[in-house]
Formats: sequence, C-alpha cells, structure tokens
Amino acid sequence: MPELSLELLAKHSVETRAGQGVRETAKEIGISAATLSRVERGNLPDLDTFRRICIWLNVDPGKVLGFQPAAATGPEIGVHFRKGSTVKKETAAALAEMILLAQATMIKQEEV
Amino acid sequence: MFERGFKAWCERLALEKRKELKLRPHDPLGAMSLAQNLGIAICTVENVPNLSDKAKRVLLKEDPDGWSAVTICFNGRKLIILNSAHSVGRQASDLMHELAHHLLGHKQSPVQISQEGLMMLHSYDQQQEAEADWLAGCLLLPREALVSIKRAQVDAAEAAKHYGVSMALLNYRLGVSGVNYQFS
Repeated sequence: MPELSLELLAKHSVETRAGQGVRETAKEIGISAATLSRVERGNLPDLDTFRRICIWLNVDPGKVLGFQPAAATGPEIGVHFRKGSTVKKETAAALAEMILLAQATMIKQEEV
Repeated sequence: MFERGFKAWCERLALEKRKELKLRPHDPLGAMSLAQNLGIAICTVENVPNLSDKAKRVLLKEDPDGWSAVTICFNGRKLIILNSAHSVGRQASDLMHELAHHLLGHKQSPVQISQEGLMMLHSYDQQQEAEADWLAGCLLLPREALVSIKRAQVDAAEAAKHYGVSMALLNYRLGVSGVNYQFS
C-alpha cells in the first residue's frame, strides 16, 4: 500500500506551506494558485502537477500512488479527457472504472 | 497562441470534410456523421458493459460537470464515450472536440491507475485543448455557415438549432470569425 495517500497529500500541502499564501506557494511549485487550491480541497491533479507538488513536499510520488499501468498486459491505452485541470476523487475513481471496462470490451472485440 | 496559418487550415479542413460527406460549404456537419466517416465508435456511459451503478451515479448525477468526454485508443481503434447528462448541443460540441483531437493528430495521454483505483493523466495539455476547441468550432460553424446565417438574417436561436450547437458557441464563432463585424 502507498505510504502517503492522496488525501493526506492535501493535508500535507496545507501543513507544509504553514501559513504561506497559496499564490506564493503555487509560484514556488510552478503551478497555478487555482490548481493548488483545488488540490488542497481534495481534488486530483494531473500527474505533472502531482509530481511538482511531491518534489516541493520532498516525498516520492511512487510512494503515494504505487502505480500500476492501466494496460499492463496489452498495448498502451491512451485517452483524451475533456475536463478541468483537477478532478474530484470520486469522479477519478468512476472514470478509471469506466475506462478499464471499455478497454476490456475493446480487447475482447479484437480477440473475436 | 496558435501557430501562424492554423486558423485558416481549420477553416479549409471544415470545408474539405463537408465535401467528402457531399455537403455544401454552409451545411450543418453532424458530429455523429463525421465520427462514422472517420471510423470512430461512439457510446455513452450507459452502454459501457458492467459499469457499476455507483460509477454511473457519480458520472451522470453527482458530478456531471466534472468531465465531458473520453476518447480511448487501443491498437489504432478509437472509442469516444460521451456524457449523456449533458444537453444534445453540448454533447455534439464535446464529440466534435474529441474528433478534432483525432484530426489534429494529437497524441493521447497515457492513463495511470493508482492503487487507490483513481485515474490520473500524465498531463493536461492546454495548447492541444485550445487547438481542439478552435477546430471543433470551425467544423460545426465554418465561416461559410456564419455568413449564410447573417446573409439570410436567420434568427440566432433558430440557427443554433439548425446547426445543433448552443447559442453561446454560435455567438462566440460570429464574434471571433469577424462575421459579426463584416455585417455590422
């Protein structure tokens, strides 16, 4: 299991900036203030933003996520995803489920 | 923001696609027809086999504005999943946006699923999103269509309905294309 969950990441971020303004901190991280605010409210950023926050927090991104590729046994699957720069945790989980099931259907169709 | 010549290329492509589909330059171009022409499959959340009720509830009822459409690529095949909680006009615009990514040859972002079962993308490419938005607008409402609307003095609401777009998109295109200025 990851040593630091995504939920704790938000808390860790608030604690680490310890009263420093969101704008100033976001500039330091290299992301927008709006994105940092959304992350601190528990929304999920994209991986590039996530990695920048992890570097700033001095934590290993792999320890937070413990990644497994979405298509570990098949060709790489890619998506275009029309959304904002962050997404709610529940929505990210539902999207993951939908994408993996749709991918499985496409693989099955290919096998027929 | 865009490379020089990009906007003119989008207008030309909107006309080329109409020609391929045997449409006139000012005719409405249905996103579904274009998807079919490009060999891209379309479905909605309800059509995804075995998707849990909880996921459907989150995607369609609790956070319908959290996402618009997803394009999944596998072995050269593409499937676009639309958000059926959105209006027909919004879905057409979202579908055209996804088709625009395809026509622009944009590379998809690899998906990663965390141990907590959350989906994350490598990055959210704002430049690619802006390019797809612009091309989608041109495909739905090329300059010829906008000029035709103004010349025939078609009511804006009626024109939006005819082209299957929102009033907001129609007004935006009339403004940025310079057609409003041309007819003022």
